[in-house]
Amino acid sequence: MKRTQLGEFEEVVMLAVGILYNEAYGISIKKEIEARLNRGVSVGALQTALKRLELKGYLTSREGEATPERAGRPKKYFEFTSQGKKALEKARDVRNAMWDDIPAVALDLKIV
Amino acid sequence: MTEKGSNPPKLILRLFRWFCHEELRSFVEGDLIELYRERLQTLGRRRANWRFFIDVLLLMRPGIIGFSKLNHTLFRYAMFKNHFKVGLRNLWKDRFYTTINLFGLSIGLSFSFLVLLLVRHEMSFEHFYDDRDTIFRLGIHYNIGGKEDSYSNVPRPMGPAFKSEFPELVNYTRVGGINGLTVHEANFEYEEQVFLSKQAYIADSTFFDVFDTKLLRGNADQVLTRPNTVVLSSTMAATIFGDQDPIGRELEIMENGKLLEVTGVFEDLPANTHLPYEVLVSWHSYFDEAINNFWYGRHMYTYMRLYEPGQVQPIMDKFPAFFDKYMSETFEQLDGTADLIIQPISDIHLNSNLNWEPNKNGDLASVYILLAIGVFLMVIAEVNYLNLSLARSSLRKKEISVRKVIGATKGNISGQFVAETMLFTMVAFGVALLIIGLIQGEFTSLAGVAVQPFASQHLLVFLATTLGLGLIVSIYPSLILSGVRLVEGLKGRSKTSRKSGQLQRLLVILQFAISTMVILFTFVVKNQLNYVLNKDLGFQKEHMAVFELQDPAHVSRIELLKERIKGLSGVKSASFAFNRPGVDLNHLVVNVENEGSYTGVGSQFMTIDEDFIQTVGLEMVEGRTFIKGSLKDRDESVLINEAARAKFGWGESAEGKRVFINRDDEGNPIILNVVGVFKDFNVGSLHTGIEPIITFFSDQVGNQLLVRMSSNSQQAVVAEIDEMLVSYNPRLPASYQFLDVELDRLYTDERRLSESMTYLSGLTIIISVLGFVGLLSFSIAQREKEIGIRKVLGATVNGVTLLFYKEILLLIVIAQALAIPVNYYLSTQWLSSFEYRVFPGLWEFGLVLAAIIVVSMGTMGFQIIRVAFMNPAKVIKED
Repeated sequence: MKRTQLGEFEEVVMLAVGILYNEAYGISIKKEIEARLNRGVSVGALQTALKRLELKGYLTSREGEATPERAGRPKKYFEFTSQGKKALEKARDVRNAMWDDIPAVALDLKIV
Repeated sequence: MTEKGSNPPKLILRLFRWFCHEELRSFVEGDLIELYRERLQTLGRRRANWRFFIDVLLLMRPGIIGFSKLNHTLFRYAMFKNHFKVGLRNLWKDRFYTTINLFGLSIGLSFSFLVLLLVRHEMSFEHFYDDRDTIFRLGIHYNIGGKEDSYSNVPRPMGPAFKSEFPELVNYTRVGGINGLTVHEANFEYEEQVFLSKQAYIADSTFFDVFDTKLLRGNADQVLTRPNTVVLSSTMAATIFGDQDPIGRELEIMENGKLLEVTGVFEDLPANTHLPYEVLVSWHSYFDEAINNFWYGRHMYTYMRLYEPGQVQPIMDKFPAFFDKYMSETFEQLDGTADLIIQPISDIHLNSNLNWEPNKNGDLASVYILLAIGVFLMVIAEVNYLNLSLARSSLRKKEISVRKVIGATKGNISGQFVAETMLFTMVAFGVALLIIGLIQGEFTSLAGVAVQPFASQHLLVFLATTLGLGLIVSIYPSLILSGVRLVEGLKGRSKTSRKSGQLQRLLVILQFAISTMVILFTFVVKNQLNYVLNKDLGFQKEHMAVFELQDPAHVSRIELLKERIKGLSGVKSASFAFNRPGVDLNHLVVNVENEGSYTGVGSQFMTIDEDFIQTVGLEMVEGRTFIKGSLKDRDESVLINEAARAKFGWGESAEGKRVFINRDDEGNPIILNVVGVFKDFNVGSLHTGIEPIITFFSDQVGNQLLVRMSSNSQQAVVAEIDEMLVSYNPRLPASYQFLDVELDRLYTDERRLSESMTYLSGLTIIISVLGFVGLLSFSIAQREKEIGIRKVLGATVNGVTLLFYKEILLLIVIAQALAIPVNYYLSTQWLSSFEYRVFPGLWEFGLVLAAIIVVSMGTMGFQIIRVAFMNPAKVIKED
């Protein structure tokens, strides 16, 4: 069995790719994550995560247009695969199930 | 071009491109540039540059790095597999050369490794003492009556006086052989069993203050303080006492009957020391106090430990004042002077050549010769490998060209050959280890030292050296081969660089020069050994047995014994003495009368009976020998040798001349008369010359029994005498030797050298000839077509043969011309340790050189004749 587990950062990256839908490439993903999580993301960390997700088969990529602001270098756009979608859903389900199983008392205590 | 100004720094970008994986490069680069431009707007250039740099640095992570210049991992694995396979095939294809090559390389490596280990051993003496820098031995140089001698031991009061005079000393210790200064062999008895120790010494209680040997039992400050105590090495203790606790037990020294109490046990010493003590007896009350105060004679080895290594010079500077204070009185009487010698202990083994060393020392010249040989062997073996692979390389041009057509880069090809060489070197390394395993025993007995080739640190160094050398020799052929021109290679035209041919010639010359040198040196050594073994020593060394007697039961009965032995059939004559040929003589100062006044002259001395001259076979040139039973001879007569006659200034006639050595109680000289002069003879090894000898008469005691036998049934006679000696029930055994055997043993080192050099000459010449064969096959392959054409045009077999021989001969002659001066230098260095030496004559040398030429040419003849007889049509039709 292949591991379907997603790391925390990987999950965030997947989600960002989902949010951006057709516009998900290096810089846009980076900005999305930085805006949402309020923290810096290095190009290196992001690229490694993207590559790993692609190897796991959760993301696919296509070569995009070359724009002048990139000095003629092409963009690489990402989107989910169905496997990737499943992995994300599974991650969400697991968390939801766990949330559901927390006894109300535990949460109450926190409020008190 | 506004864009140019908005691009990130080139250098950093290039760095990124260099390490980034090709697949990702353009996308990530786009991202980086986009980001950079944004930041340029918001943050300004400097901070944008900085952030860009940080981004690039953070991109250096496993998923992203993929050096573009190297290929994919999987692909490279396949490539290596291919290299490996092709390498093996090539080795197999040229089985002949592979065998030659492997054989030469592994033999060279294994022998040089062993030899270098031996050198390491020789150079590592005393290194196990942590404080060796501050431990020194005192020596002394005398000039007494014109006789100059340097001694490794000094007068007994010197150590204590040094300690009280010089604050630089931590402490001193005196050491001497247990049965006399240099006689450190003794028999010990414990519970009826006799144990022999060959390294037993008497030592001051301060011994362990100077030498940092670890005590396993007992306290270093106390073990040797009381009289009649002894400390043993752990092996010695285990041999004598087994499992019993040795402390407090008693041993008896059989030679003098002293009882010793064991007070301590120290760690065994390694073999690399000049003083490998295993038994130390306390000095306290071992000697009469009186002789401990002599400032001349009765020497002891004296060691001192200083606080700092640099304090030697201050002591040397203060010595003249010390001499005036303590020693001048004695030396005025002797008409002599003394100079101090201070030796660091680590220098003693190789750099000390003084009289009465406790054990035989090493010889620096021999160590250098060994070192040179070790390096030579390695060089020859590697050169050989290089040569043969250069020769073979011409055969592989097609393969390389095809590889290049398919897309191999220069780097690929070089890599292939480096890899092949490394593979080969590893195999050779393995074979070398096998060879070492096989010859280790033989080597140990030849060298007399058990080196540890399989100790892990030695193996590691050996492996590293082998691989390093392999790498070095692989570079040149790999460069040559990777530079093969594609079209030429494919066409099969092997008109390769003349450069590599030149290099090969140079290498062959180097190799041959080295092996010629080794052979010539071997010749010199053998010649010298032969000379010293056969030189007329001035007496007959054949048919003579020497018994060494220790037991009082024998020594006190010599007159009776001698009569009984003389009566045996097969015995021509017998003599008792305290000295004999083969053992160095001691020195004293003789006061010689010349025209009424006496002057002190240094001389050797010996003590003999009336039969000595005849038994040894010395000739009297003047006067008579001693007369049996003569009291006058015992008290007043001496014999001298010719050298003494000359040195004492007596010209041609010495009979009746007078000398004195000692004075009586009232201070009057005890005059001795010279009654005879005997012909010079070499008493010791031929390393030293003949010195003046004065001879005293003793017909009642003696510990050396010399027996001259008739030439047949010597073994039977010796056995009979041995039986007779045993019949007196001695406690101490008598040992015997045949004199010629024992004299030959003086040259053990030389014999060893000669034997090992013989092996080596064989080795080097084999390896060199192999190298030559390689070169020859190369040059023949190059010139096949030329020879074909020559033959078509009418060249004869002889002509072609000559053509090749001319070239070879030239190389050999150049090599020999190089070897001769180097050999001359080496040989004179080595020979200089002999007082009597011969250098082989010119024509003998010439003969050896000619023999080398003939043998090498003969070996190569087969290949040359094959070319000479070849059918020219065969080679010319190609192309």
